[in-house]
Amino acid sequence: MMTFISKFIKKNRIRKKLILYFMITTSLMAATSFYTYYNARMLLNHMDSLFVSNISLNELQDTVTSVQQNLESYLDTKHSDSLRNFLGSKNALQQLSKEIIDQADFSTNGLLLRDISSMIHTYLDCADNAVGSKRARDINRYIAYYNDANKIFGYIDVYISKLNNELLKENTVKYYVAANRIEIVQRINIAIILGVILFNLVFMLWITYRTTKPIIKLSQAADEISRGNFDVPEVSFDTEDEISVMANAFNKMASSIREHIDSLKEKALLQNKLKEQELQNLIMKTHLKEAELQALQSQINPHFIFNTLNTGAQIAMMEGADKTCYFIENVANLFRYNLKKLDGSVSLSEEISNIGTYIFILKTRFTDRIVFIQDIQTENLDIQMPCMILQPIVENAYIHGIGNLESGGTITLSVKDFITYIEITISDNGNGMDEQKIQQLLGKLVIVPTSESNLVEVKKGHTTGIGMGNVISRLNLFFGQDDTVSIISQPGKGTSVSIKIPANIKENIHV
Amino acid sequence: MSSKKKFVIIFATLLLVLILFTSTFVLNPFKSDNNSLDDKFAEGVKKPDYHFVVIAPNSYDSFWSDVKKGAFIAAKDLNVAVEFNSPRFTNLEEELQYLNIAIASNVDGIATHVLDETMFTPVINNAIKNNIPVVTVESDAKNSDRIAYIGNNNYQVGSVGGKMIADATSGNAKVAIILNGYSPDSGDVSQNLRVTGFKEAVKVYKGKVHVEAIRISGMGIFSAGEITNELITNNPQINAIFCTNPRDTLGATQMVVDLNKVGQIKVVGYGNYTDVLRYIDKGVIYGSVVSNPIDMGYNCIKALVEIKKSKRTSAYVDTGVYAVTKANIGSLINSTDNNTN
Repeated sequence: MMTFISKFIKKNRIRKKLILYFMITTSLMAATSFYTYYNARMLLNHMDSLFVSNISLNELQDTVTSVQQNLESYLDTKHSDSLRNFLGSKNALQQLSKEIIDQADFSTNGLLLRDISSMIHTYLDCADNAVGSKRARDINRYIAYYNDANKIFGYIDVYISKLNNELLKENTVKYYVAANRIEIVQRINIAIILGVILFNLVFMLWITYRTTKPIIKLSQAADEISRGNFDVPEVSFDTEDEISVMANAFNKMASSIREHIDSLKEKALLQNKLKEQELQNLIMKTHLKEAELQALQSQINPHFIFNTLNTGAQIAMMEGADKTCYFIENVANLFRYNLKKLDGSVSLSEEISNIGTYIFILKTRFTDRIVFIQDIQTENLDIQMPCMILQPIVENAYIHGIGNLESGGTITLSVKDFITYIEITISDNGNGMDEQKIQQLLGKLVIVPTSESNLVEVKKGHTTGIGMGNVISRLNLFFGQDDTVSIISQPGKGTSVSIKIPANIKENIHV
Repeated sequence: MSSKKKFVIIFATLLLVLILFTSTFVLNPFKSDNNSLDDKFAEGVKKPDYHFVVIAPNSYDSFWSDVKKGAFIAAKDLNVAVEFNSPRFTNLEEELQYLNIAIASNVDGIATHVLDETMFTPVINNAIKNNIPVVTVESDAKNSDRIAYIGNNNYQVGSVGGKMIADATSGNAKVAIILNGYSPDSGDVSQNLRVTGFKEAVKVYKGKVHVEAIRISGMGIFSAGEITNELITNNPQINAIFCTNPRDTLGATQMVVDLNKVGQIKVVGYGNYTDVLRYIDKGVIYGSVVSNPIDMGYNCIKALVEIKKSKRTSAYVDTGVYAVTKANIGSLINSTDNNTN
């Protein structure tokens, strides 16, 4: 039960507070107004009471006078109307007189009233007797009674005037006393009204400030937050109403926003760091590759061989050994081509002619053991590509593919134009390789090497140490793709290496 | 703000308001202020046994204020209602009218001053005829049917006065007596009794204290003064004046002062007006014959009550007179300072 009551009180606290405050001010003003009204009312009543007695006295006097007039009129005229009037006013007078006696106390004025009432009684007796005598036509008697009645009428008049005077005197004094006190009460009234007004003003101002201060603080804080400044201090109030509920919620929201933002900042920082790291890694990789290439190139020193071969060719020519000269020139061409820097680019036609040179040499060495077929289906041979790409592939095709065939080994070079790319395929009908080997060559399957398989390793029968891995790497780097090369092969069924070169690269791209 | 503070504030406010309200109620001007102007008798009394009327000659004489006081004290003691009426200034017709009104009002009893015995007697008799008991106060209508007289003995007044005159003049005086009469030639018996008493009292001085002149003053202060003037001017041998009425005392004394005869002419007066007492204190007049108006008032009411209750009362209540001179004036001054003149 208590929890219910306290919950009821807590619910809508701000409404209850406001209502309470308004009720306080309203009831104060109402009380003041009622009090002032009450005072005015009392004054009115008092003034009434002051004159009530005067009024009733006047009424009495009028009634007595009318009785006397009617009496005189009847005695003069003996008119039945007069008699009726006389009787009527006589009854009224008796009634009044009785009322007076009932109400009169024994104060000075009360005694006067009692006397008046007794006199009225006596007077009416005389009047009755006068009327009776008149009707009995007893002139002397009615005149005597009439004189008596007249006398007593005079006395009644005297006393009524006297009483009126006394009452007037009393009432005047009472009035002045009251008026003086009224002065004081009026001043107090004004003071109360002013006081209440002042109090109400102060009270209302205070209440308004109190009630709106938290709202204003809250709105200011919310404004700050909306501007993006999340570092508002905590808003706190000590009232226990809905506004403090709002303040608490607001504080929580503000702090959670702050936390959120902080965590976002952290994440961003972290991500930046990560990106930096990645960038570094990439640069590292690039450098590594450069080093690879440099290393590769530094192994090959064809200058000496080239110059030596040139000399040999000259000698052969001077000796008239044309075939020898031709053969040695080809070798020289081959080695000249090998001198090219690996990071440069050559045109496809140059690569193809290099293949031609190499094949001639091979044929010369191995007579008719190999057949070389060249199938060029495009005129678009200006495409740039890295140098020393095709030759290692053809070498591989020869050595690993058909190297063991006594005869009938065929190597085919085909170039097809697919508009967006040129496909260069070197295929042989040799041993072929299994899937694992394919993957290993493509570099996708890493077999822990006993020595670096991608790097410098001059194998038996190779002219360079440039293996498939190197070729594929350079191709990928050159074109920025990693699927330039694809190999199709099955053990015993030959191998086909395809290179896809994008067709719109006409400039040098330095890796 | 904590609830406690709030409660304190609200409570303080309400308390303040409450205080304001109650204070204005206390100062309420409309509490019926029932203190009537004059009498203290008013409505505090439960239903009184009888309703009496006291009729005085005028409303300014402090003597009659004392009578009224005494009457009202008796009224409270005996639980009766007392009406005190008088013309504003001494006026035979008016006083008679009040008497007639009292009769017409059929009151339970009347105590009246008698201004003129001849005129008052038939009216008093009329009252008696109407079964209204009448007693006379301070002055009597001996031949009427009045049931009792309450007052002082006029003979005694004269006697005490005579003695004082003799003392004042060391037994050697030519005295002028100023009697108070309604009209200068009214043959008021009561006044003559005073003369008789006076003469009797000074008999021992074997003629050395002699009444040279007897005058009867008219109403009001002035006449006694004129008489004094005439006496002093025309009868220079007069060295003492005896007045039998307070106003006359003052009037005569004033004239003596004006004519610079203080000390030469000894004055003995009547009544205990404040001014008379001051004159005595200052030695301007020798002394005064003082009666007991309060006793008169008290006793007349008492008599009326007795008449109503037991149908009889003593026909004469002597309220006594005494001499007041400088010697015994002390207490009187204090007690009569409250009397208005």
